[in-house]
Amino acid sequence: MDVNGPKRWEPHRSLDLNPRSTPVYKSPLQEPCGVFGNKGTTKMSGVVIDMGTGICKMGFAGQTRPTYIVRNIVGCQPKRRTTMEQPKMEMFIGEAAHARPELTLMHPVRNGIVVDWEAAEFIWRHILENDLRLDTQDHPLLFTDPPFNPASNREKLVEVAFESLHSPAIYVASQSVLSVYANGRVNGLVVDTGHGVSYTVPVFQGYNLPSGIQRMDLAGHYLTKFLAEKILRSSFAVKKEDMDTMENIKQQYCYVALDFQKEQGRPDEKFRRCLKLPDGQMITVGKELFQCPELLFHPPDTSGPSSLGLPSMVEHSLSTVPQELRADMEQNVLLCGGSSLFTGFEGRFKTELLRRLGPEAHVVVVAQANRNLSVWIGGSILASLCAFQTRWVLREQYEEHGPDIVLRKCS
Amino acid sequence: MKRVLVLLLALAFGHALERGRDYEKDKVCQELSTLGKDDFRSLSLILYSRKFPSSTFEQVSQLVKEVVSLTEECCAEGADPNCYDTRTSELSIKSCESDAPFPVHPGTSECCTKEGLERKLCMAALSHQPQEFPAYVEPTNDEICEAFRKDPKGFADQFLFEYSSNYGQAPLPLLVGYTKSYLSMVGSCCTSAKPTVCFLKERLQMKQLLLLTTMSNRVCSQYAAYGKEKSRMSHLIKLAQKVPTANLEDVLPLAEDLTEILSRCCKSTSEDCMARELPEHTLKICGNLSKKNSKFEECCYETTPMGIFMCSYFMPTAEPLQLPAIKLPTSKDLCGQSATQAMDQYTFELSRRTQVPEVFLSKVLDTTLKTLRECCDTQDSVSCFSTQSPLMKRQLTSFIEKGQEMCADYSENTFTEYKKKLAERLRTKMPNASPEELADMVAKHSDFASKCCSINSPPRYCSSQIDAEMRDILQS
Repeated sequence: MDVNGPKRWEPHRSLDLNPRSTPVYKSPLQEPCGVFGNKGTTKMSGVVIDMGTGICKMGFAGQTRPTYIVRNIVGCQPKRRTTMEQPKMEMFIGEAAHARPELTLMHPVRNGIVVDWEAAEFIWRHILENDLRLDTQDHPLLFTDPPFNPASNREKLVEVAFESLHSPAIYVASQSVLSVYANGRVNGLVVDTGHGVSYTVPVFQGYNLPSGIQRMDLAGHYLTKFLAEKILRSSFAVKKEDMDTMENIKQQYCYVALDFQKEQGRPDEKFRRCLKLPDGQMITVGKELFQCPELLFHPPDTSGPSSLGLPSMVEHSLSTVPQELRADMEQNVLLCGGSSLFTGFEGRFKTELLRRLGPEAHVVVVAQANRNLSVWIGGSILASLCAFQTRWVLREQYEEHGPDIVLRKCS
Repeated sequence: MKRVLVLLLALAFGHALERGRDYEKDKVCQELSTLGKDDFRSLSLILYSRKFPSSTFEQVSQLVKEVVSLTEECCAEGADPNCYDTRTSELSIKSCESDAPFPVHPGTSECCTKEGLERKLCMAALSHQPQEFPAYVEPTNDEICEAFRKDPKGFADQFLFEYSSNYGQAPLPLLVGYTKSYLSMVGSCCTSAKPTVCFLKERLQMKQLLLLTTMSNRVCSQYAAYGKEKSRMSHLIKLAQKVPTANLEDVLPLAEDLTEILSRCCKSTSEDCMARELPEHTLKICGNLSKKNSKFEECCYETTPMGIFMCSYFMPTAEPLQLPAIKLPTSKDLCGQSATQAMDQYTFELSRRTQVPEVFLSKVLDTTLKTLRECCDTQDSVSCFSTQSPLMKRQLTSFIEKGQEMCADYSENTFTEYKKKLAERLRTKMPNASPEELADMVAKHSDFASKCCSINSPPRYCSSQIDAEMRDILQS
């Protein structure tokens, strides 16, 4: 999930030297029922963890938004050897890691899939213990599961949660299903374009229809790189600080053209403008501002097997949905993910989709304002429902059945 | 609730007019008293929306208004003993006026040539063709609440009409149960401080009921269109095409079981008939087929019976088997005591070899086997068979080829790609057609394909469409 659009979330600073008491937790969405737990009086709210490629969102179930939104980065200080001290290892997460150029950076999630479990665990533990200030043994954890996540990854997740974090209970919920839930629905066709990957997933009555899932490894990160190459006119590796600048420009100035060909045909000078960078430098930008997000509609051939754009991916998803269920999907096309926040995206997307599906399709495109957080919000709602409390996978069940319990209970 | 359903069904179908009127009137009045006017009215709205799905909301509303009004008046304390008879006569007279505000039906004018009780019975028997393509579009939650806050009663009536018109083939108790739950959800969620959470919670709770209602509507609609025997054949064909590697003895009991369930439950006034019977049917599906086909095995991992049923119902056809061609049944097969068995065997063997949607295969097989069966009544069935079999074989083959042509490229492409391929084929076939003519033909063919080329295409609509396309072949 990429953070885009006019508002930029303040990433959490991991170093907080001011001790403060843990606030008494009360959830405005919480139903008046006992939440998770069969251990007498130990009844603690769940924590929802949505691990995207670029951002980790974490907070208590029942809240309307995550408490912490952190860059998904772990920074590792190379070991320093001195004659006086033992070898020393320092690790930072999020913005703190990003701000230190001397660190070796690790990205635990690639294209939506966790690839570095140590780094992922480190982030989770740090936020749970140091920021949310809770004992991980007391709170059930709801994790989100991307499409095409290997079963082995889910099992590994269960292991980490129970063995390393000592969680009393967990649940692994589909990201797409949670996005549908965030809209108060159980049916929908989720169009999720985040930081590392874009998906279209049909969801019917709270279940993914797996044959309908379309995926493209082109999303926010790729767009930023494209913008950098265009503006800086360089094919060489771009420096980290320049990438930050490009990310900011993308979020603040890029837009989706309603008519790309028409916009492209206008004179270059009409688009030229000078932007002042934080360091005082001036930079000239032009048509890149709309060419950048255009890639989501017309990706280059290198970005996937058939190089479909998002509207075409939706069409392909629909073609695999049983005829009788298509209306439920067409009436609930849900835009999600940070890369759907570009100005003009919603209008262009709907126009393209209607052109592809034809006038007989009754297409309703829903684009909620907080759609970059829809997965987390759906998880927050789900984990706060009375009816959900019996669905947690308990530690006792894990110890009895092993990690594949998650495949049977979380479907 | 059961008794009310029975009585209102009787009222709707005119039975009340056939039996002792005083007795029936008393029962209706008692139920009006039990239900209360509002629920009685809602139930009437559902009944007449189901009965006349092609009507406008205003037309059905007017009819309901009249029925509720006459019931209220005639059930009131001290009402004239002839009130019921008088008011129903007035209603039928009003229905015969050219500007009657009630649902329109082509049979009305003939009913109006009759008089008295005969006219009332004739009117009561009128109904519209059911909707085979539900067109109900649920508004977004925001739209729902906006409409509800503006006019709660109007919203409820509009919903009952739209939903019952579109899903009218579902068993009545299910339809009543679901619509009641839905309106309850709207009432509580639109006044909730957190509507999104409320809607999700309610929808998750209603999930099984919704699925049961919509799936029942589908299968009962097909059952109503086909009748019992053709319904059985239809299910046999579908199963053979989904699991061509299974044996007849694996799939035939399933087809028969489902047909029996539908014959019992589609018109049942019991609230839980479908809810009891379908889960048992899914057990049989899993018992017979999960070892025959990995896709069915996956279906049987679903956590709920309704999930298993839906998974198997929506499963696409498999690649047909490459097997030696089969021969039509002989007079010995069809004229003896094992005729049904022979027809089942032939249906099964043809289906597992043939890639053409079920609505095509059901149609041509019914015609073929019926024609051959008629030979059994002739003096010399053997010579009749030797004359008719080649004709039927030729007709069958060309019908299937035409069906395959009509549906070519549809299931393996997106709709856009399908239309491109279709346009190319039509351009090749008719090089002199103008671009406008070509565009019209593409639109016509693709509309047909989207409605009639899938495994669960609606039989009533598609049968008439296929007739129109196949007229030459059927007459040859």
